[in-house]
Amino acid sequence: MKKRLIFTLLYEKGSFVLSRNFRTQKIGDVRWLGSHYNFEKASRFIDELILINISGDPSFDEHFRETLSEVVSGVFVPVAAGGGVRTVDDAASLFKFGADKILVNRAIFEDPVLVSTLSRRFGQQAVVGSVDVRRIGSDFQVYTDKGTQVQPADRLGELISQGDLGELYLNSLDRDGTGQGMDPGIAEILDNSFQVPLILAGGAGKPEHLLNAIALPYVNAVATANLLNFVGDGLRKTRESIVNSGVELAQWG
Amino acid sequence: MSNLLPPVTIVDYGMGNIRSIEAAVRHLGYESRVSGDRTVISESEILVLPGVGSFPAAMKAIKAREIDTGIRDAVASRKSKIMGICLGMQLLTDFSSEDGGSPGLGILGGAVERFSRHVAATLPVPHIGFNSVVAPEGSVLFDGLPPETDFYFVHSFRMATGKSSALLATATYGEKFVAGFESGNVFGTQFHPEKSQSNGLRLLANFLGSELT
Repeated sequence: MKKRLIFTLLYEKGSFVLSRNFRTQKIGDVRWLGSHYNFEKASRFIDELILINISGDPSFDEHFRETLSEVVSGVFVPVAAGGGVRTVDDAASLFKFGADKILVNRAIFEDPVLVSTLSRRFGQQAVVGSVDVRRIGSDFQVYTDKGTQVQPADRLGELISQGDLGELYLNSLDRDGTGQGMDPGIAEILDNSFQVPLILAGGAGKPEHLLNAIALPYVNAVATANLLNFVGDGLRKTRESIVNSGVELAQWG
Repeated sequence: MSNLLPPVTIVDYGMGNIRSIEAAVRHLGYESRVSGDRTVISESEILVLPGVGSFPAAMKAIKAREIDTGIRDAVASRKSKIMGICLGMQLLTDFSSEDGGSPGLGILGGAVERFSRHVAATLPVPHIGFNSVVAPEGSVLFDGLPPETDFYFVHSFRMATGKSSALLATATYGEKFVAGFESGNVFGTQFHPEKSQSNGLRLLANFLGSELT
């Protein structure tokens, strides 16, 4: 299977944001993204797009869906969306507004029945488990709620073995937003535990960070949410350097 | 050729990611309308049949709205062109064994089955991601694209290669299977052109702009 370069857009209360160790900085709305970063052009260099709503406030759900819908109207790749999926209806409306997959986060631990229901209704491939991870020596810990809530990692394995999660999005708690490089050790530890594609996120500050991570055998995809460093020419350069290194990505004209 | 492009009708039977297809059609300069109305469908010159989900459930929804009759009227009587995408392509065939089995629209011969057991033993099913598609010679859909082109797939069932009156594009995932077909005014792709960057936009443009002979 070809590997994937993914861009993640973080949305919080009406605006896209940058995250640095879970402290967020407002960037701009969907129009701003278009005018300042020519996002549609930059999106020609990614294999997939992820939108995460980190508002933690259901009153922004509707605006998030509108934003999703606007973004996907000019981006012709698979799109995953999530954040605040509490019910089957929440998920269904994200699909309706243009998502091909949804991300589940707290529901993995608080409402696994919902995750099973989503998987049966929309297909296992359409449900992505998204968690924050911290490596502790040769072990790891799984977190939700912006790194404040430790969660039982076994639950991920249970849902995967039941066929309820199609892939895992692992964001490094320590590297999140630092631009200091990704933490390949996380995927290495997790690789022995789970038999689904792993998306590694957190810490990419320049193309070689993504290149180093995607080259690892147990990493299927790398994601960055770093608008400042990557959108613009950064995604094109990153894609070129990955292809030149011999890692197989999809090609288009 | 007229300057006024006919609108593209995206068939809506309640199952499918219609928004992306609509966006792609508009991006290519065509007017699109989403409809589940039998009469609108039967009078359309260009139809796109999308679909995600279970084959029997889709057929049930299509029949409940008499969309099958609308599609047959358009494609057989009016010679309108149609493109099925993913499950939509599968629905154009005679039969699928998914979820206990169901006849399809029967517009193009062929049957759809789950990936073979030997594939599932070694590779994850569903088949998800970009995979390379080998275009048939003389293809309208793949005109201007390289002989092998990457497209985005998400599926567990597939049409097996075999004798067919249609031109077949193929892909390999543990076994060779039908990635696309074209026969006169009937087109189908197992992959999602609307999720396949410029490769997919080119293919959709080829379909929309194709002249029927």
